[in-house]
Amino acid sequence: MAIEMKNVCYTYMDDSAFSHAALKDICLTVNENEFVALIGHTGSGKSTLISHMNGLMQPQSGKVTVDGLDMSDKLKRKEGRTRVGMVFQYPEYQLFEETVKKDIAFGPHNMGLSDEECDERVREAMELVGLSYEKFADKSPFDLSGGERRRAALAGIIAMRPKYLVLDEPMAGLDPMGRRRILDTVISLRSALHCAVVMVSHSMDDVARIAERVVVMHEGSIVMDGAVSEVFTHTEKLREIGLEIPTAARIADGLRMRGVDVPKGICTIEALSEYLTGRLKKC
Amino acid sequence: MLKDITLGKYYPGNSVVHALDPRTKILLTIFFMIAVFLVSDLWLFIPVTLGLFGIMLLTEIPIKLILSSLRPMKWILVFMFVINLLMIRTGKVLLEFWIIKITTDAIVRAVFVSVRLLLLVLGTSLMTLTTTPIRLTDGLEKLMSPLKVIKFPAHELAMMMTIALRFIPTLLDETDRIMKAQTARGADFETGSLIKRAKAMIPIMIPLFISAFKRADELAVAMDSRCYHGGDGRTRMKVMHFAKRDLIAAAVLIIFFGAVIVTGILL
Repeated sequence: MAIEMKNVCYTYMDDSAFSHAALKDICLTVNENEFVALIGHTGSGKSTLISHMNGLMQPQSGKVTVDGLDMSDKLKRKEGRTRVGMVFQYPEYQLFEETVKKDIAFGPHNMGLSDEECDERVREAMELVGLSYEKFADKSPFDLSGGERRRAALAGIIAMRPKYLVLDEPMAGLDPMGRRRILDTVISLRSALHCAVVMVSHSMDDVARIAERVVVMHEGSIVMDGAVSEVFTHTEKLREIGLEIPTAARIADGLRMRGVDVPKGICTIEALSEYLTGRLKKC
Repeated sequence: MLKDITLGKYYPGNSVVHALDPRTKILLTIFFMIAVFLVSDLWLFIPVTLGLFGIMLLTEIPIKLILSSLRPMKWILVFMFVINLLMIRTGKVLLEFWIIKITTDAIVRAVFVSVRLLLLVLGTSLMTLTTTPIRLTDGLEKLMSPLKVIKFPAHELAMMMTIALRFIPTLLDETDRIMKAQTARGADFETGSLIKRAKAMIPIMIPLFISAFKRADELAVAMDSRCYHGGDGRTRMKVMHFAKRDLIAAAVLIIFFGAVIVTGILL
């Protein structure tokens, strides 16, 4: 069971002067329970790619299936969409209801669930994103702070209990505190819901810390796909396509240049400091 | 889905037509429209069309793209054609059954009206395709500035148009984004009764309005903080001036379409 994309191609404004290929022959499988980070420069096709994962966009050629459900089929798409929860950039702009509770229940209601079930899911989702039900449920979403609003929007997707959670830059535009809270929420969600996570991010440190697999996109193609420790060893190639590398990997690179043979594959501060303290103890 | 709108869109280029002063283009477009309205004979549309195609070639924009600006007009065209075809009852009768009577006059008139509409749309879209909206409103402001004497708010009007034009693509993008977000939450905009579908628009309209108001607020602050205080005494980074090519373009077009009009009157 997985999200499978086979030879997906997509061109914006086809056959006009403004046309540009956003996706070129993409093959990608997202397995159950996996944490995939999707990185790439602005305009590399990340957002277009994830829009294909739940059938919001249809490939011009190629095929997308979610747990075997063909997303080009109208009826199966609807079922597929409930399995792939999509959190777009700045999701707080999608809030529209009078109360937080009602807004979070929008998704479950559209799935045709009963009122009791919706309410139960709202409570659960709010709990998971760290908004207390008593305090926030009856507030207007427009009275919340930026970070709270984003978590409320996230809860709106979680309440649909997706098997795959797709997040497009969930931390963009938040202060460090807000970023950490969202990141922690994503980590705890995964263990609570046992769902796969696909996260688009520009913060390589965050990617190195929480992802298992990294997919690198460049000009509409997947150029690298592998475990975090493996992808971040190709520092030269990443720099070439204009991407940052995690701070720890950068420090490790610098140390290596100065003759300290830090092993490859270290890309989190924790792992690096562990290695270095171990080394110092030996001295 | 919302992005495939060609009508009124700028197409970047370096052609002679692009380089013309926006005021020249606006005035000549108006002149062209008058010419099209004054032409009263179907055959005279042939030189007008040829002239228009000549300008099209000069713009260096793919003809197919220019013609695609006609696509949104197709229903109006069909409507105009059919109405004229059915309503005019003079001339030789070609076909008659029930209440429908089609005459030679009606066919000529229907073709005439459709061609006129086509030419008007093509002519004006040539202007918008070769002029950035900013330059276009600048040109309009300049052209309307004599009206300031009678307290006509030329600058304010131009500024409002600039802002509106600037935010159309932004709001379309925004609508697209919100629609996608709500679709991902299982909202359904395509099926159901009219009332159900109208209700389904609420999750789009509310976020859209909220962000539009927010944007307006932010824009007002941004303008304020840069000391915007209306048009009085405001200078421009790019000052428009007529060049020799404007004169040549105006002369060529006025002579050409003028000749067509005169021929029409004399005939």
